[in-house]
Amino acid sequence: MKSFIQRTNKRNSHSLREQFLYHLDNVSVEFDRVKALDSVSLMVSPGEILFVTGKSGAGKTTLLKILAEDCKVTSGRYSSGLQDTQFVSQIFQDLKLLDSKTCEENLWVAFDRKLYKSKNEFYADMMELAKILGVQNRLNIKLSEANGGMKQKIALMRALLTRPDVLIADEPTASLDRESAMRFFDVINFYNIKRKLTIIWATHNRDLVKQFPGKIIHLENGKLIYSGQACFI
Amino acid sequence: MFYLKEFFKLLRDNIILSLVFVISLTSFISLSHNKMIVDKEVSLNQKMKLNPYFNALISNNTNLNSVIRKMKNLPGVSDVQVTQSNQLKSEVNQLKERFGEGIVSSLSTLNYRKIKIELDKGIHAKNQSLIKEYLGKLVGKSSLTVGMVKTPKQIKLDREASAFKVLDWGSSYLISLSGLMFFISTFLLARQASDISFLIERFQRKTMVKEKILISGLSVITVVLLASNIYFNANVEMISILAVLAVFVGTYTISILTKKNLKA
Repeated sequence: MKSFIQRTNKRNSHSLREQFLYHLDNVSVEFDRVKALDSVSLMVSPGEILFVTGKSGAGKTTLLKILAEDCKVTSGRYSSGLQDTQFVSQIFQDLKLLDSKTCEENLWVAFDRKLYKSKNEFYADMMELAKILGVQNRLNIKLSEANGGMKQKIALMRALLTRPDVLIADEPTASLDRESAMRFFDVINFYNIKRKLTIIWATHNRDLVKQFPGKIIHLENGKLIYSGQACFI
Repeated sequence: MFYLKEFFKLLRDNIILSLVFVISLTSFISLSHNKMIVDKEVSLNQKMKLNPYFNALISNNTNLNSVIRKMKNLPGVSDVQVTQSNQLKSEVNQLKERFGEGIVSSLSTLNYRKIKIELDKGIHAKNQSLIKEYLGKLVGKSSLTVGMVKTPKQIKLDREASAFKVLDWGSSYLISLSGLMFFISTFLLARQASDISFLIERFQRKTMVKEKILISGLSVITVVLLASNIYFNANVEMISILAVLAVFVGTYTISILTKKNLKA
């Protein structure tokens, strides 16, 4: 009987791993006795688009850090169904680009010989993305001379050039106008459909989110107060 | 190769820091290696005996052990050494080179042993002759060939001399200074490396990039340094290997510490 229960539990946890990429159960995070996240429960399936909305200081970045395994939970349970071969790429809030390098040199950071057979293959991918985002003629400029929108596009391109399984993006459209932000979302959406890319996207632009398929969660003071389909918000 | 390339890119992007790093590392390894050689030479010099001595060739038919024992007990004799056969062979070869094969060939056929008799310092010439005569009586004149009494001309280094002390202190001071400069520059370089390694780890499927960059770069530099030291000094000593090990352990510790700092 005991072994049967153990086997059943094992099977259930295995199927949960297959079903969910991330599973947060009553997760709380504290920094200096201040709760950044308060009893958040969440499940993210493979190939899903999850928008995380909320005001500044609502806990969006902390949640993203947990998912990227950059931060440990104070209480609750966090489990990840990611396999060793799967790769998580990020767009950071501060972008983490090299100002002293050109835009193209920043993109070459993502060149991994395990992924690309040759530099030509990487370059072809880079130019295809650059064309979609309309920056193909501006890749040679120094990053310090580029505007905020251009920098965000470079950060997105760098993240996508890693051919990730999961993309975690922390407010990547903050410096973009509405039209550029829409194009940005289109690119992401295209990758989601084409490569089954799981996307976790923190933003405070709820109006923009409404127009895209996917799940949305809304955080306030570290608490999850809404979870549902983005189009119904 | 990837990590090595990144290391040299890092040096290129931080030229002043890299110069300090390379110079301090070079100084640290070279100075510690050279100090070890100087210390060894000085120690050998201290041990070197400056007593007058003479060599003697004795026929193998005589009881050598008895001769040595009796000579050692003789007043005015400080030590008696038997020259090893291979050392003797090399000396015979030197004679061959100097005087030609024909003259020395007769020597080679002889069955003899060479002994070195060291005398007390400041021994009088008359006493030297008496010792030689006693040896002649012990061995028999037909079985013995005795050389001239010689006094080693080696200059004795005075370890207590103030000039030597200053130089010794100076080299230790320079080694410590270069070591300190090396660790500071490595720490600063490790911080620079952590930026690029963070990006590489996040955007390529690689781990422990910073450690690999620093260790691969250091390996190349230390191998070049050691190779050049061996080339110029024709030997490698334990202290050099220890210096290199200290460099590696230090760098690894620094890279771990900088990682902790970043996370904190």
